[in-house]
Amino acid sequence: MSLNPDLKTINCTACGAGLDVLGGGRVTVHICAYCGTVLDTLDNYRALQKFDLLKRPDSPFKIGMSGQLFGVSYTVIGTLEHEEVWGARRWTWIDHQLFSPTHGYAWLSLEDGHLTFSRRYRKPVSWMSEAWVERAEVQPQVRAGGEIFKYYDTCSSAVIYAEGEFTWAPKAGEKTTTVSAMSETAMLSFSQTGREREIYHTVYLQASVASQGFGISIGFTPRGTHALQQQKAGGNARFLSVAGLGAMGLCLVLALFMTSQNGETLSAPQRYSLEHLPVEIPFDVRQPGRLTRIDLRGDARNSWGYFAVELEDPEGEVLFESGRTVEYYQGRDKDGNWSEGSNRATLAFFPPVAGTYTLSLDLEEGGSWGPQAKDVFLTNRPMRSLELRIRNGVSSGFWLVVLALGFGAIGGLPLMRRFLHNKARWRGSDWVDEGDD
Amino acid sequence: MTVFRLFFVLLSAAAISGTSYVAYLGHGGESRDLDRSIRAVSAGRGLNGSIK
Repeated sequence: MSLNPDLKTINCTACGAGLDVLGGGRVTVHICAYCGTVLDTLDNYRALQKFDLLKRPDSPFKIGMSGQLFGVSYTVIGTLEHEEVWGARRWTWIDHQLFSPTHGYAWLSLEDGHLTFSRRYRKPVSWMSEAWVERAEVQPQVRAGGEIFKYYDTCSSAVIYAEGEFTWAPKAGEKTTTVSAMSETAMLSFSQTGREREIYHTVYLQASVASQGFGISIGFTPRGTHALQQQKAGGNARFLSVAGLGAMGLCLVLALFMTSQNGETLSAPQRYSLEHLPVEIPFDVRQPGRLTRIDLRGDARNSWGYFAVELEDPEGEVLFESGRTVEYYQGRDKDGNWSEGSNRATLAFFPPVAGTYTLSLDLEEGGSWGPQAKDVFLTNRPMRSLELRIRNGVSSGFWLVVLALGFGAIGGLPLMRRFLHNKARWRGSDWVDEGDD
Repeated sequence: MTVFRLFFVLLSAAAISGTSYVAYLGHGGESRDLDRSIRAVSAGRGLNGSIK
């Protein structure tokens, strides 16, 4: 912390206290830090009114402090505390008026432990009025400095504490209505007090920057996410998003390709009439260790059949016993035609050795469903025939899809964090789309 | 390119290559109910017992 070396002083015309004059030629009032009297600097420091100075707000920035912000040397020349009341809720924040002999006036604000830096915005921009916001059916927005500022909120605040020098005359309790609009990096505030209009451009100020610039300890821990706070993304966040999502896409393409690889057909599709079951079907496996798939296809119609399947390896040992249900139902109701079940079923396994395997197939149970349904009966004929096809060397895209999900999580996490951060930034907005309410 | 990025690219390439080989062999596509002498499939009316 350092004090401005070019201090001049005046004596308060109300209490006689010595007051430092820091603020440059555009200062119009000086509020005595000792008695709270508002002194008119343009009229020999005539007393205008008095502020209650009993409740001085707690801020690490004191009047007279000098520091560097954005490469410019500023001096704190005034402190204001604002209050907004909405129903039972109350918000307060502190504005410090800053002065630079080379860059003019600015504001350093402290709210919920967050610091922001504001300057008057003098470039041409449409005025976002309260009336526009109230009439708007879509979120109002203005373009300024190459950025789009979308409406954020409207607040009506009053000054409850003032001390120091200001370029305007704060009045205790006087309401100021401010309409705010936010871009990705900054906020434009359209303030109206009585007939006076001003636009301010506000950016977030990292506590470390202010702390270093003024050589003080801020001593406040920011609470929650400020609307202007930039996301603390790691240096590799964008890389992880691009690389992760790219790898996910590659995995999905490979999975699609692998799923389409059906290997070689070991036996041409054979159709077995159910009256000829059980059957034994020998087939030669030339690629052991590769996925081998048995495809069953029935012609059930409002019926089902459970087919027992047993496989023996070349040594005659049972490799597995299992079974598959082939069932298909259809009908029509008030919602239209419907169907359930499938006439297709598959079994897939890894043959441990090459050689001739023997598949046994039998209809174990079957039945029909519907108005003419009968009780379940063994080895009846719920369908006419069953088609069977065996393939060896089949590929699967399953694990590639799992890997794609993993890469998707890696690539999507930074995007999700960005989304949640933006959501938190806009949480304080009072704009509600018609679809959201 | 940072070491982290290089590591990520190499690890990803290895994971995709390895998984592609496993996918080529067909792993992940095998039936899970082919244990010996265990019939894991219910017979008929398997659509939770209620059709439509």
